[in-house]
Amino acid sequence: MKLTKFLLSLIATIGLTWFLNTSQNVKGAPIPALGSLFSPFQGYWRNGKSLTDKPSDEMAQGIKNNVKVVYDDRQVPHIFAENVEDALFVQGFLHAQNRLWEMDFITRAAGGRLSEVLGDRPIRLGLSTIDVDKIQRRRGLIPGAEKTVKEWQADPETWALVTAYCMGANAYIAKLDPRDYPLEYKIFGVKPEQWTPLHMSLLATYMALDLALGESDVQATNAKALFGNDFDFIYPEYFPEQQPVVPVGTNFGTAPAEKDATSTIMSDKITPLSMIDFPSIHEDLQPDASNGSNNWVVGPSKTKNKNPILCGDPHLSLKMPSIWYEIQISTPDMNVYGVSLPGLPAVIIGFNDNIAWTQTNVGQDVADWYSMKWLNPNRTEYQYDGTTRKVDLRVEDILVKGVGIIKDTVKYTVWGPVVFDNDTMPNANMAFHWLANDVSKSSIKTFVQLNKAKNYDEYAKALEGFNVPAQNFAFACKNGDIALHLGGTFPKKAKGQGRFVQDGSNSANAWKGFIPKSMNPHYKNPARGFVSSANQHSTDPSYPYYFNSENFDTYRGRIVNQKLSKMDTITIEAMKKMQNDNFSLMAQEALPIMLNLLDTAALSTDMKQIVSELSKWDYYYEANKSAPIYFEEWFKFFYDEVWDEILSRTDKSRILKPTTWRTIAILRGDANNKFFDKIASSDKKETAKDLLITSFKSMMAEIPKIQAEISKNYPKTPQLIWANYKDTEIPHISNMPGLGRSHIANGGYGKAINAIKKNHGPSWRMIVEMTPERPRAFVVYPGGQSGNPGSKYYDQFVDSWSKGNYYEAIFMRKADEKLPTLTLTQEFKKVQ
Amino acid sequence: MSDKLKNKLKFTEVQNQIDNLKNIDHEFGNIKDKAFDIDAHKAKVQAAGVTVKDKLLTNLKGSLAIALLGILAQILFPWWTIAIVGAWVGYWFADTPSRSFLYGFISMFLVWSIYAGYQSAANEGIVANAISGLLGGKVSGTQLIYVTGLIGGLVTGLATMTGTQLRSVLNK
Repeated sequence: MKLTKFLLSLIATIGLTWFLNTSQNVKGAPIPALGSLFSPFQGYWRNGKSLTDKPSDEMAQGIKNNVKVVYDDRQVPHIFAENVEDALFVQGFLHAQNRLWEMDFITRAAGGRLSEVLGDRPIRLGLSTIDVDKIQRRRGLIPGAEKTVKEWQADPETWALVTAYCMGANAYIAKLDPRDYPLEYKIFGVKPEQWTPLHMSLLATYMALDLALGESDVQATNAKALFGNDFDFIYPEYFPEQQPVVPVGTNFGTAPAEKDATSTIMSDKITPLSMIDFPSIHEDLQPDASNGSNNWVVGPSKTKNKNPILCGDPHLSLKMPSIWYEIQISTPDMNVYGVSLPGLPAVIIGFNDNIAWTQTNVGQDVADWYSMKWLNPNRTEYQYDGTTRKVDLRVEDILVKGVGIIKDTVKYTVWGPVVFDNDTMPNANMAFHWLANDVSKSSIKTFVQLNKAKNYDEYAKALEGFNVPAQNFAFACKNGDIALHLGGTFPKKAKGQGRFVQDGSNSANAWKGFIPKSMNPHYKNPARGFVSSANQHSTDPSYPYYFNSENFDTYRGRIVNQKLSKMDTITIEAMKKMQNDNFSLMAQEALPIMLNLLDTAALSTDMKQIVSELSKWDYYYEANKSAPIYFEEWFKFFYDEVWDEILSRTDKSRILKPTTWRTIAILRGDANNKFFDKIASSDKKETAKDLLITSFKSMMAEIPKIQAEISKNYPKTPQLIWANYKDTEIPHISNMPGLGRSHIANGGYGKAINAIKKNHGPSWRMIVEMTPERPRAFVVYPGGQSGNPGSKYYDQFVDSWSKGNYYEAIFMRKADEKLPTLTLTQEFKKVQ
Repeated sequence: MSDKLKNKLKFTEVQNQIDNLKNIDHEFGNIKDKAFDIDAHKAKVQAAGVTVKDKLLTNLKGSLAIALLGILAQILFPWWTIAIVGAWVGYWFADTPSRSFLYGFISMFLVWSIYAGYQSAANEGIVANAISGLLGGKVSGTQLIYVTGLIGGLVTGLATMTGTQLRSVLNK
């Protein structure tokens, strides 16, 4: 009896201890080892670092001289080193110290290694971690990243920077006790790994995925098949009011010959009914179509103090921790301040004593699909210029937590990998050609050169080494020069090439090399006194090379130019106001026409009330207004009814959507256009007037649902106002509930300069005045310097950012400057 | 009642009395024998759980041993070594199995919850609130401190009970 009792207790003890020390899988969701997680000696409690903790001095192996770091009251480190390599070593160390999980998770996501952290489980609508990992491998990202590493290695100067940074990151990782692993490692039960050049290259790949993957080849091909001769009417590539990045009238010079090489474009040959089927995962994994940004520089002639002022706000998906880490790096030949990407060296957007620069995305289409003529059922042989070619095979091992290794064989053609390789969708088995897999990514040297640049020539020279993702680099110099250069590698294309799926059996369909960097669109010190960009067309059609995108912005660029051309004696305060401006040019262009055509006689009193509110609205998407809600919903329903030709189809996700701008232009031009006729009603011919009435009523029917949602999210302040409707949130980078911020109230939307959407928007706001004495900068980002959800510095800046407030950056000249806001110092002492 | 029966009863009574006397004598002899070994006697009394005071002392000693050895073990080794500490202490400071469980449980409950609460206070509850949010807000930051204590307490309590039971198996 005693023995039985003893054995029972023994089994219970061992069983419970084992259970609490092992990760479990409950209905596909991994539950961490609860004992380790809850233990106050090793679990999450330890991550709530005491708020008075000071950074400890470090004995660092690998630096040539001692390095000093001074922290200000916002935890921004100011690194003072004797040489660039030492500075980057410490930058790597600080990135790992503050953002290790972020660096690690992003690179695993880009490298198709999510399953090894998350196990096999659904992560997005209908997609599992394994699906997503497979796609990343099949896009050829890893060989592409390996290629970049080889190119870094081939250049001793770059390699020295890369190794110094990695050594610094690894110095931190090596001394990290498992008890002090960042919270997320404890929750997912995984370990950090060594930071390598491949990790850096994959992080650059992640940025390229976000900013340079945009293409609509299949959708455009299908739209052309569907609309035939109307295609060019619905989807024009240019429009006169455009205001491209480089102003109309700029002389681009003459391109070397050979630009008009012929290209057989598949869409010209297919009949209107042959639509290309494509797995929906392709759509699901496209980057956010609204990835964009604003930048502008006003020259001395337009500012109050006669100094140039540079402003930038790159828009990205909003995540906690932020994609940016603020930093100052000072060496004898460089003193730069700005934001860095944790995982990569140098300052990416910022300023130094002499110049300031800030980027927006160019967004040209550099990803193309090629339809293959497969010669055998296994699709291992294909036709190419009349000969038979065999695919190269690459086996990818995908490690899945709790399952083991899953193998996936990826086929490579002359064009690139076959991303969707299956028997059920014969015409989806296309080859994928992406610029980012061809050329070196994140030109580390470019940024170090920019960080050191003293004038226009050094800035322009630095950009020559930059490849992908292509950016509009706005520039201001202390001497008064202002400029804007497109930095990036652009393929030479025949007209229309890359807009549609192309025939992969013909080498003539290849890009015709790359546009010489000297021909990249650019302009300097324009007569209008300012430069600007907001993801619109790079140039007007007079540019000697063809480029394309279905996603160029049509509103923000025009708003910026409108405002700046009217402004004079500009101050920093005026620029702050402008970056937070919620004006909608789209509403101003569309709403009067819509109200004018709306037959109010058919509306109820309630509805007339709304019409009256809309007609009094000033087109500002302010947080506390309800008119923007009515307009957004009304336009959404109207758009859906106009384009019922597409949206009533089951394959609608694979057909290109006409732009908002074009839809409004058609409405303005001809309210009786045939596209306003509903295809479902054959007996009646509808006009825009009919659609505006029905869509207005649909909007009214939607309002109670919206109100219910608002009451759920904002039980204390359930007003029907724009901020509550938009419901801005900043989710955790691994989508862990509770570790992000939700229900943040603010104004703005995607088509306003203040482009804060639900979970997308200005990821960094910077205003720099290049005064002769010392640059004055005002900055803010939606996050905080610490990546630790248990730190008060994790989300420190979110509220300021949401309200449109800024912090003045502390630009130090010497390590021993005495300022009240400098709180802590940390020494890195060299070890022999 | 017949005389025969009366006699028989009387005989039984006498017989019983004689037996009682014999027993007393025997026990007295025993006590006399054992009286020389007072420490052993005390131990026997303790083991039989004779006085409340002694029992409490055992539990207190056990609790302290678990707390001190447990903290040491967890500073040096993974958290689950509290099970080994619990079993070891339960063996040497044995009470009834349920009492051993109780003092093991209480001891580690206090160590884990106090240490968790201390760290949480220094951090103004930020990490506790983050974890609370991660769990969908069903458990508050403060409640997490008790959940923490419960996990440490349960493992240690079970282990202490097992140690005590091992002792009674071996002492049989």
